[in-house]
Amino acid sequence: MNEDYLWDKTGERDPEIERLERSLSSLRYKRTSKPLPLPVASRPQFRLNSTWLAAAAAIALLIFAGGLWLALHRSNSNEQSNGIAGGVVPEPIEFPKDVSVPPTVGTVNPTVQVAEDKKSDRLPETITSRASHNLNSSTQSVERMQKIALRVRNKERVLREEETIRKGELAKEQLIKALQITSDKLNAVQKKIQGTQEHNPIS
Amino acid sequence: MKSVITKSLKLTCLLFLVPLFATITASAQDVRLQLDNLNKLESKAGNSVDVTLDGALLQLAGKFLDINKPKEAAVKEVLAGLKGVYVKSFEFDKEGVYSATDVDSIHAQLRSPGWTRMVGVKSNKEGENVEFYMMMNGNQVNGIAVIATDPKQLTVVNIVGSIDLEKLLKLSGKLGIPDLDIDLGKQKK
Repeated sequence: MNEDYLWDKTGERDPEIERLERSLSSLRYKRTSKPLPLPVASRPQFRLNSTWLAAAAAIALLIFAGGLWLALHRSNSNEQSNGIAGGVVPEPIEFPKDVSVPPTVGTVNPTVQVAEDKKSDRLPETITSRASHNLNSSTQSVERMQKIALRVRNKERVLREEETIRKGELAKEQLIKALQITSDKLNAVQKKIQGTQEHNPIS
Repeated sequence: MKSVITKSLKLTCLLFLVPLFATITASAQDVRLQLDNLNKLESKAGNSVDVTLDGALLQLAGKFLDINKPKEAAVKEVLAGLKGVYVKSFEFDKEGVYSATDVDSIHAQLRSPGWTRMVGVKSNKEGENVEFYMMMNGNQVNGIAVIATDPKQLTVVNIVGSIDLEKLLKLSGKLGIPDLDIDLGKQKK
């Protein structure tokens, strides 16, 4: 018996061992379960980076703009109804000269925000500053757009009122003219009838 | 069961209202005369007046009448109850510009049921002819029509709605705008 072939299948083949292998092959070990995972040192931790900050700023901006739009829309509706009821004529349109560079006046001050960030060492300075500035300028732009839209609507309303007045005055003139013609014709008929009766009095 | 009853009631109302609305509309259309065939005379006339005021425009005009002004107050009194005012008046520079067939279509409309010829004044010497028609519903006037013709002038007036004729007759004096009418000018002579 060749022992090398028995242990590691090297060397000369042994027919007896091969016969034994074939007969016992049905009992050979088969792996059914998955291999166990390798030990992991640690999972990656959530970190506040620039992407998350930008996303948060965008969401906050959207919410703020939405709220602002809703508030202005409501106040505008109220103002419009009051204006029509009271006969108030809105002021003429004055478009803002500089829309691209809004003033840095608002609820959030970037400098203060940066200083606080420096103290607490929570966020990088540049990211917070940019986000705050973007938020501020976007809010200003939205406010200006709302004002422009309001003025345009007021202007349209004034034009409609002027058109109605023009139509009304024209209709009034036409009505007076039409009734005057009718009245004149009827008076002419009446006078002729009266004249005929005078010339040919009923005896 | 409830929905069936509701649907049935709605359908009944609909079936009742549709013919009613159709009748009212047809009635209003009968009172209003079709004067479009006279539009071709506008280009031939030296002076012309074309007034078409329906309900909405009449209401609008009424809002602009100032009751503090005597003239406009008088017009406003006449305006109450009117549904439409339609006037076409043409003054021509020479005789024979328009023909009798132009007026015949209007006469044909005034021969329809409801219209009554109240007055007709004809002057063979001057060739002047004025006809006054009314559409009555009991004692209420639903509309009037006036056709005034002479060799150089044609005027057709159609007023739809209830109208106080006495107030309308007085209106001419209150407005105080004389000599716009050829008839009045001729009478003064």
